[in-house]
Amino acid sequence: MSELLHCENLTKSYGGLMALNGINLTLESGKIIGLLGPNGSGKTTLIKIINGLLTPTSGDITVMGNQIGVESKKVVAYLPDNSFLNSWMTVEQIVDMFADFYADFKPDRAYEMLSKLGITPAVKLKTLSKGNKEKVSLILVMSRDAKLYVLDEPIAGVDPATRDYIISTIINNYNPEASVLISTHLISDIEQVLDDIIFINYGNIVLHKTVDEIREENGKSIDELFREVFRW
Amino acid sequence: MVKKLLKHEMIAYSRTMLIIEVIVLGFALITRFIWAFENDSVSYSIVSVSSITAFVISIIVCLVYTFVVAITRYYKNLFGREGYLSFTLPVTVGQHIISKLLIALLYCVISLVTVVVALMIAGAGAPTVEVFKAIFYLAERYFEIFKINGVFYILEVIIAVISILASEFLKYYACISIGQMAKKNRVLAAFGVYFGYYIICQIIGTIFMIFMTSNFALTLIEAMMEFAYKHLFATVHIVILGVAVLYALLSVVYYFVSYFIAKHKLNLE
Repeated sequence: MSELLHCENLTKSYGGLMALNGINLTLESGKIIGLLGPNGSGKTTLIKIINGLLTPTSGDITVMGNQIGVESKKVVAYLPDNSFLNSWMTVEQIVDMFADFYADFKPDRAYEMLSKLGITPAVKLKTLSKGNKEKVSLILVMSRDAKLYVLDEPIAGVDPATRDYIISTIINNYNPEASVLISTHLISDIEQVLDDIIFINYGNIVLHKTVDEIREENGKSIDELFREVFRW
Repeated sequence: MVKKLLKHEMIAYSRTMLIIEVIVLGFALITRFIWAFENDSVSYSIVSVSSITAFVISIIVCLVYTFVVAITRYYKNLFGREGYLSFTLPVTVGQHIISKLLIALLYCVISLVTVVVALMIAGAGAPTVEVFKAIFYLAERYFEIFKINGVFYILEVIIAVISILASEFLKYYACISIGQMAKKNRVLAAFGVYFGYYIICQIIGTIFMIFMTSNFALTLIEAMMEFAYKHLFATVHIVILGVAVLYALLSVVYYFVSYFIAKHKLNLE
């Protein structure tokens, strides 16, 4: 297993508010990692920094040894927690765009998944339902042979059937040599697929262990441990 | 990567701009068609004035919208929700800015050509022939007077116009970029930056005008007028190229403001 992501004393503050408080974190390849924490704990801030959408206040962050930039973006596939696709585009145009910019994007894989959902390439994104838009976004991201998939709340706000579809799409399509970092509140839905857990709170990493370690040491499910750690 | 960005910028622009350009050409055709039935009736006058008014409005909308699309596209594609995709593409910030600027400039040319073609269509027949005759006559006289300098003047004016347009677009980009550093109301902040900068420019202009009334400035102007009188052709070259260089320098400053913010101060909501 090789080192994919490395953060050292990573800090992000918004005025007086500390969103990330000197985080030290290393992620290795070949794992599905849950980034878990309550609202405002710093999950999205960390994810945005990994993707170059936020600049850290201080500290260092590298992806496969590269600072955040063109080289890191070539190997990181990102699914934001909001609708990020241009709604006026057709599915075909957005697939074409991904194929143009990402060398690791597999259009055939994307079209196969789209066809299984009955989404035709000529359809405009704005005409799709919220659930289908989320599925298209996920299909685009998972059709890349990336090294690190970063998925911000991929199963939030969708019905249980869509949730199952999203989880199975992630598991069946991610590059096995890669890692998947999933941020979510819906732990019980996803804990059976996780290898590692990161608990984050008030911008600090409070726990980073494998799921097996947690079960052995605590004798609890991740969901139970989360409720215990973050109890008000 | 710039080529790919240009391709997708073109697709995004064409979506709205092509429709507007087709509308301009359509109104030109309607205007010309109505003109073919020219008579003294009141109903003809009403229809004719209405079509000409619609044609003129469509031209104004086309030219204004060229700027509006350039500005909104920069904001939405980089600092709106689309920014989540744009800034995760493996391209540099510089490539984003340059591709947006190039397509904005290209669409200025396309809109201008559309308007000229539309005017030719609307006035097809005797008026257009007369206009062309006048242009050829003026061109002949122009090259008689300025000879080879005339060719260079045209090239220099084109460069100066490109330089001015580029600096205008980059100024808007810089204001939007500075505005996005605000914690909230970022569009309002961008307008604030623009008007703040406008006021500063006006103050500098006023100070400059006051300076121009000083004895030192008057002596300088006199010396310049003397030089211009002796070397008229060279003076015109200096003035046009001076304008081009001034706006090119401003463009560089605006570019680096936008570049620095997007590279080091990016904070997508």
